[in-house]
Amino acid sequence: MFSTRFFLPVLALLPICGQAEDGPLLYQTYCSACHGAAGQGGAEGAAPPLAKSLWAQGDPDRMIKVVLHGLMGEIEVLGKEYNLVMPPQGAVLSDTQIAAILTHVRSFGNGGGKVPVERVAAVRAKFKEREAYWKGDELLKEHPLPSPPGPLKNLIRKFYALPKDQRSMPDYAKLEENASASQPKGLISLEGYSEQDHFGLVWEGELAVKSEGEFSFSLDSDDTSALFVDGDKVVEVPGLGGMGRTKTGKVSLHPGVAKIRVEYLEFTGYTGIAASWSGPGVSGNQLLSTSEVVKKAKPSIQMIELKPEGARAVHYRNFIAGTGNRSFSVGYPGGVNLVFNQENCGLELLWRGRFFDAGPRWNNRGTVRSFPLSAQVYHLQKGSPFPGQAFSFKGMELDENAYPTFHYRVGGLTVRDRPEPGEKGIARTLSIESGGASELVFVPISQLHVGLTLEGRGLTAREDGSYLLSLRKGANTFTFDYGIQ
Amino acid sequence: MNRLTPLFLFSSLLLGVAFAWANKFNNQPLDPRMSKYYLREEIPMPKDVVFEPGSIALLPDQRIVVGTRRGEVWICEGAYGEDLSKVTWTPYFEGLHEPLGMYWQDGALYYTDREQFGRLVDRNGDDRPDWVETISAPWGLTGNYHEYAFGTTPDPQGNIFVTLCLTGSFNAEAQWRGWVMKIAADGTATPYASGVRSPGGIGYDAEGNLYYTDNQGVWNGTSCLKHVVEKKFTGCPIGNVYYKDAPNMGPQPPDPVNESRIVVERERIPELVPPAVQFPHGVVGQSPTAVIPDHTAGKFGPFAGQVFVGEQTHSEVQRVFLETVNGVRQGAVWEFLSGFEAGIVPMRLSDQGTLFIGGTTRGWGSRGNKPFTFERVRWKNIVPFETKTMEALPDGFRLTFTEPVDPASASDLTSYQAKAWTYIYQSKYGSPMVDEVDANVTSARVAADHMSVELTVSPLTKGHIHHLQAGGIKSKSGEGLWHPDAYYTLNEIPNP
Repeated sequence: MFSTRFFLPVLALLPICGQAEDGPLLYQTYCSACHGAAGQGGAEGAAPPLAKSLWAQGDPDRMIKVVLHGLMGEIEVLGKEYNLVMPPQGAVLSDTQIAAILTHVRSFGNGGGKVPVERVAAVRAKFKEREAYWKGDELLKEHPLPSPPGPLKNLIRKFYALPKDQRSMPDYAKLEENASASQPKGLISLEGYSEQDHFGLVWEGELAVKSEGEFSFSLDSDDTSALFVDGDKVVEVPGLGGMGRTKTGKVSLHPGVAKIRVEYLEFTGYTGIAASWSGPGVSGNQLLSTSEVVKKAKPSIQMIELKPEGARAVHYRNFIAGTGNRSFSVGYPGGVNLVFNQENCGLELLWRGRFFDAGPRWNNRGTVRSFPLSAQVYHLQKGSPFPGQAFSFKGMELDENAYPTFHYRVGGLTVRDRPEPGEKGIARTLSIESGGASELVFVPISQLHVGLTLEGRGLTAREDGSYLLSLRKGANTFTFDYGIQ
Repeated sequence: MNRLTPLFLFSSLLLGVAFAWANKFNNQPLDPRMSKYYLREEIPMPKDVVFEPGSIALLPDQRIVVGTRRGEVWICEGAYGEDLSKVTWTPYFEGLHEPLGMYWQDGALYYTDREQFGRLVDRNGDDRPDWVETISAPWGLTGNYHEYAFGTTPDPQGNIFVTLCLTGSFNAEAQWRGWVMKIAADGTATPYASGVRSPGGIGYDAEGNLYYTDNQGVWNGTSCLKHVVEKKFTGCPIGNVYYKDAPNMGPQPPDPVNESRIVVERERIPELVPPAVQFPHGVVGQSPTAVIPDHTAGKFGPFAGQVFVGEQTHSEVQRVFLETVNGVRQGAVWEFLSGFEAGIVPMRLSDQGTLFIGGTTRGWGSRGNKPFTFERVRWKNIVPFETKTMEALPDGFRLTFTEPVDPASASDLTSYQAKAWTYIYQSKYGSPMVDEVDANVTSARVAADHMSVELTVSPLTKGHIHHLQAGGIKSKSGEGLWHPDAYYTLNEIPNP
């Protein structure tokens, strides 16, 4: 007597020719940690859901390609943005195993039935040489996501060319349409017209009302729109303007069929329309229009704003846009901020206002560089602040308020470099211990900026903007005032 | 294969049901026996803080330092105590860059983060560091999120070792990506070994040998524990472009032949050190992390001298036995502890036998579905019935046990199943299991003290993982093994 129970996982993972693969077990082994046991997606948005996902529906080649060669970069799944890496599994899993896994994924409410092993084999053969990961837009170009039929039955759209001075909704009943077409997708859409100016559209269709009660209709448009139920105007978005002016109206309905009419006017510029309804028997807030004009749901990169607290400075060390990869950022109380680049011992960035959004680094894997929260960031350093000198960063001293003094060696000298926030901006003091009389060239700013001033206390800048620091034996200090408007 | 097929089909049905049951609420398979031997407890974390532990340092006064992926450093008191509600946390520092290595020495906190090896020193005694020192920053960075650096505690000479992830999965765009660097106490950095792909942790065994975990990917068919030997190559050639900057390493080894086997390439590339223990992907975890020795002399159960390896994706801890055969380190892995609340990254084991683990799920999914966790595990002084060691013999393996076995079951050949396979050594991502060999256990000789058994296994295949399933063995009291599946990486077969 022995138990084979424990032996089985391995057996299931060995490719076995001509034998049925256990899709659920393979999914559990290879996929579930990231995508969830039932395809609900990983914790913390680690990996996108597979359940009821358009990505897993329709043309199976889309998913086959993702599994075979991996997927990298930005994609949107169920209204949420992801920017991750799906490692390629083509070298690990056999065609039969991939088919079994994807067939199991189809069972997560995706429909479409069995993914045939021949299909996997064909895609593998066709892209035999491919080593690159797929990009989301590249995949969707070849395999567009299927669009589920919308709730509006027998939907017809009429198009009206309007005069250039038409700034308010015309009485469409008195106009003759220029074109008319049925809309089998069952959703209100500007498709085919969204690039035009001076036109009108009218949609007429039917909604199935399952239960008695009060229903809400929401409408948003660029420019004007109105929604009628059984001939009565329920909600309108009046006047010319952009999206974001959502209005909601309520109406009591009986079970049966409600006749829906939506009128729309576009004057010039951007176009857009979004409509939805909710009420008894309707699951959530159901869209009546295509989703591309609807504002995207909350992105997965949440803002994480860093701020100083009380008298203490706030620190941030990360990969930051516009500076080197070993940089220390300090946000001082009062709203002056800087980035010190320890790779060139230079004061690299300086700005006033809010400090940092750490969101790009502290969401998901942190694939995006962090950036200061200001429109006006002064980039001070281009090249070395100590031209022609070897330098090495040693560390930093922190005072009781966590203000740093940077220590580094330049040409055999030890420099203590302390920025202090002041009313005008930053006062930066270099304290240099010297064994004898010598000179050091220092470039506090290598590019001029409108709105930034620089003054060396008791020092005169040379024509190229550099300063000659004359050192005596012993302690020397030099202070530079950076004024930030 | 065939004789197992009906059982396979039947039992996979059972397994499916078991998984469905275990997974009703989360991804964690249940291990009902673990709580009999080990007590796993969540340690309260600082309130309203996104904690995400990346490194742990144990202080001599039973304080614990935790470095988080957000670069904060916190000091914990009370984590050894019986009443964990009394645990307190004090913020120590903010502004490291994802530290993944930490230790405390002579009153200073030494850290390895993405950018440097450095230390935080509290010189004025106000319990906050006032000197942040860069000791060494010898490696390059492009700003890619993959550019992680894991650092060790010091070796007896005061050196630490840093293992540097490639830039992304496929390239080494910045200097020393894909290398292990040695950094002496004075900050002098020396390239130490090449061949790194995507490490998850670095540490020593009880004898002081150095290892890191490398994750399945290009040139790495399955995740593994790699032995780091000075001037040697651990397998992934992408970083080898930097041999030109490493005169101490000798000439650059030839690149491995694509779609070969490690055992074959070892003949061509003398610098190639095979993975000491391979962890079959998906079977024994799939993202190994921290490497720590059991130096507790039995305070953490009957595994003194062995190595524990953290596992991110499966939220578990594996147990590893290591030995040297023909000059090569190799050994076996068993699953060990499981059910942690997030993906394990750092681990530390105190001399008193308390295992501290930190978990984070951000960016990489894990079975434990909390975003982050800090936990401890203590042994309940009840010996689990386990295979303690698995040593290679010229014609098989010797198993030793934590408790006497029932000799009848241990000498019954049907108590054992053996199978062997390997992975393709290739530039593609990962590998299927290949070159499968059905091995047979042809004799089982139980020692007089009933504490070990010598198995003749035929054939033994050099370079293969040998999976020995000992599901039929019973202890004297009639219990089966807690973990009957062992996976031995047979880099070398001992000479008779």
